[in-house]
Amino acid sequence: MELRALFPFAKILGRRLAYALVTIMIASTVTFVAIRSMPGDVLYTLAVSLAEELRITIEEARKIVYYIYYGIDVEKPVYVQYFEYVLGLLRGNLGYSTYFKRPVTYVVARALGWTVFTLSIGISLSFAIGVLTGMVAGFKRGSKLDSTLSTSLTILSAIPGYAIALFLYIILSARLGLLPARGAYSPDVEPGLNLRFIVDVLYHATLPILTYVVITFSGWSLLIRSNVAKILEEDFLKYAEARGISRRRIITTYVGRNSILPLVPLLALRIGGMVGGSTLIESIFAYPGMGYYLSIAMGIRDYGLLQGIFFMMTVATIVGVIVVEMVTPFIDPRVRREVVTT
Amino acid sequence: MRAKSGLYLFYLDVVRPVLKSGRGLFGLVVVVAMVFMATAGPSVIPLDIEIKPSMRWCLPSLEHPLGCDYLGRDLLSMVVHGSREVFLVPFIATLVGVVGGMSVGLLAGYIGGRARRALTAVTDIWLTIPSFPVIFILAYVLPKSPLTIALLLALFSWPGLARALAAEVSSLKSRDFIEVCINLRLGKLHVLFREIGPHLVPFVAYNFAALFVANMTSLIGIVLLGVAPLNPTNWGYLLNQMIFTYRGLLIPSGSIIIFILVSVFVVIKLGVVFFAQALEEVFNPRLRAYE
Amino acid sequence: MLRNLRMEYLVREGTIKAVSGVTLPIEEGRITAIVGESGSGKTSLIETFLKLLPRNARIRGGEALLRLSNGEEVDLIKADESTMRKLRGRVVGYVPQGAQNSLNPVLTVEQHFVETLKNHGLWDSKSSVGEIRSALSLVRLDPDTVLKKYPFELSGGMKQRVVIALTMILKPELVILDEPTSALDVFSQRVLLNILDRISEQYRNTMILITHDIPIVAELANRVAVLYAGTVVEVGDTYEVFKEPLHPYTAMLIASIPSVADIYLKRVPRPVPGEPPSLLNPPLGCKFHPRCPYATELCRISEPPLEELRKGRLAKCWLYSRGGKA
Repeated sequence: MELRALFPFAKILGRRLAYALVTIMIASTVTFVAIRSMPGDVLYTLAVSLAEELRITIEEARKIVYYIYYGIDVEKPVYVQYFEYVLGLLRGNLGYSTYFKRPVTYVVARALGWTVFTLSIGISLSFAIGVLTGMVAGFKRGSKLDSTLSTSLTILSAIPGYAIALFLYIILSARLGLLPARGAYSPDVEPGLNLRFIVDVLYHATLPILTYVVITFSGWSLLIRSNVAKILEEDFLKYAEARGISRRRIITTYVGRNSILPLVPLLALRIGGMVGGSTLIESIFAYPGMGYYLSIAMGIRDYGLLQGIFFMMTVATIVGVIVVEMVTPFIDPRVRREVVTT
Repeated sequence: MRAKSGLYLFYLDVVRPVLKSGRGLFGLVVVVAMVFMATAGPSVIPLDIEIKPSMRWCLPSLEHPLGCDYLGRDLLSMVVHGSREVFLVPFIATLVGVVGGMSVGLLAGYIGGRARRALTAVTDIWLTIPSFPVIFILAYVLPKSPLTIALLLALFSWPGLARALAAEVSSLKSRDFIEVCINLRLGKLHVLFREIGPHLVPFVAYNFAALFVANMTSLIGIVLLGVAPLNPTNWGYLLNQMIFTYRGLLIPSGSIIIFILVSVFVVIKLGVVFFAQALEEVFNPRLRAYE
Repeated sequence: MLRNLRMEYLVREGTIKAVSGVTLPIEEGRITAIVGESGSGKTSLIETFLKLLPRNARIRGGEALLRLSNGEEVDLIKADESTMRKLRGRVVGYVPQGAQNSLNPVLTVEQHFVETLKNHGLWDSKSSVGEIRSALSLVRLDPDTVLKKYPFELSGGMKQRVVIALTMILKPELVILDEPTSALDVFSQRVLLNILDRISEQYRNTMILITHDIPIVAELANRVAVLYAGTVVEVGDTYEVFKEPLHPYTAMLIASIPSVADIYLKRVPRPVPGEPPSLLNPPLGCKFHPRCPYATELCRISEPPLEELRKGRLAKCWLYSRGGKA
């Protein structure tokens, strides 16, 4: 692409970043409000014990507690608190986890990798399988294969995610003992770039990834199927055939590309849902990603951790969406031209 | 051709398409059953509160068509009594969400221009916030009443519809026949309600059904994960107890009962969606597959 | 040469007899026009012998004989798919109706050309670029402007011309154009006609032009065939057919064209009365008889044969064939 075409690109990127910023602001505001309105049992108790220990008033202890765990100074008026909180966020201070007795950043740093790892593989596989099955169904529309396929896919998509997760857990882990259901790797394996570790990691990641894929691929499949059916009626297919273009090329470039392209923006939208979904799956399989720690935080009322992770999740979603949106012009020529002409 | 009477036309246009497709019929049956279950059900089938440990996890039989739960109670009665909450809460949530989404969507799509872009921006931002964690956290934090949950779910229901609706209205607006109407100066309100409106009905109806089903799933999911325990007959609560407290998955009959409960839910989900699809075919004859 | 082609569409209400016994000799190296009202089966006819029919179509019989450059004769109807694929594009070119929708939205114009050439094994990195450019200039398009564009960036007329260039780049011996002028304004039509004229001169190929626009026929075509209700009713040299139409339908068709001369002669063009028949339940006997002012009892019960009445002139009417009124 010519360099000149890159400039409006930057404009779009800039606009997107502005959106992102606003979203993050809203997300942080929501968490801020939520934190302030939460029953402060744990912190209160902590404050009490701290007060006793240090022989200060409960009020003062509370101040200290709040300051350490949230970076908030309760003395100052609310809006200043908010401002400082946001500043802290930007500086990378995500708060403090009461349970782990470490900064949230520490927890997030360890968890983020696992979530990204499983999510990216899960999304790619799900999309790939969905596209393949959808195209088969779309081409063979009306046949027995298609009706069985689409009916089963519809039923599959109707089963709630948690049900599928539990079901897979029972069958593959509890009953048949084929796959492990906890952790990212076995405790006795040494982490590092050795083969044994890598295999072990994949072994442990299989169940979460499999669950993702089973839950989400039916959606893609049905979408592709209807797209393919629509495209197959188009005139340009006929003309391509009239020119003697090979069937194979027609299937890939003509039908394939045209059916998949409209789905890409949908991918961006779904990323938000998938990050949320990771919470569920990771909790069920005790996979140490962000979702897992989120549910733990809720269970033990570790509000600091809660707030920090939630914030990170929002950021991750936004980043994912921006990435997809930035990549789209490269794939879809129609969007590319729009970008240039805006 | 002789003119056909109005009733016959109604049959042809509305009833027959629904009946003819297997899915439509299935959907209709399910929806009727749902309505019945939620309204008259609890009166017909008494709530079984007897705890009979000997009947735990009993399999379906004539006496207990859906089997028994972990305390030996009849599952069917639990399902029927829980249906009110499981249907009502998502229904309200969806209603609020759809009304909100429609207002925003119609406004944005119809007015267009800067208003549209501003509203789209807001909607987009809303969409980007991952819904599950937020619902999780807020459900945890806020007072645990059905209304709160409903509103919470509604909060995340409106942007999807708003966006799609804005796009639909926008594209409809530029369609020829609308331009003709505008040129004829038929008035903005008239165009909105009499011309564009009917085209949107199937669209909104289908989205309503899909949203309803999604909210129902979320509700059950939330309760299942123990975030917001509500009514004890809530299916999510039942599942929660079955799986986590009473470890039903480890017992063969327990697994079957859990499977049954989940299947009930899946059947309802499918039924509503099929029904909505059939309705869509009623409004949009082009979609009718058999013609 | 098409002989007695028959094809039907199977639909819910029954069978639509879209092509019922079309026999049409096509002269090589000349432009033959096929005219008819909408729904007379023109496109169906082409799709039949190009074997590009939809799933619910059934070929019921007939032959479509094509003479190749090496003298061999191929019956397209009996040919198998792989033979057809070799012939399509290379030997038989087709410019479909509505070129606007004939291009792949995700490929640039250049990519369309490249893929077409590569598919037929004609791609040569050195010479092909030049060939593409000359094909585009043949249709009066500037290669530098058009090559890198996507279909949605071009106007209807430009897309039309791209399709023609795309078809011509393979230098097919037979080119079929389906309603090339219908969607265009008068000026674009003029440009297109000039282009087609030049192509015919330059390549000396056989062209079949399908249209319902009769003045175009008069200008471009050497021979004309009139199609009605799925069958050929008259064939002949354009000038002669126009001057002296044999079949009543042809006569009425010509009389229905408004022309400038009418204003001077204070003549009012008369449209052909009635409506085209339903191909689901075609009338018995001669298919035109319900609208024909000369219809007789014979016309009502029996369909006349297509007969060669003079050298190169065929007509399907009891007025001329044995058994009818002279």
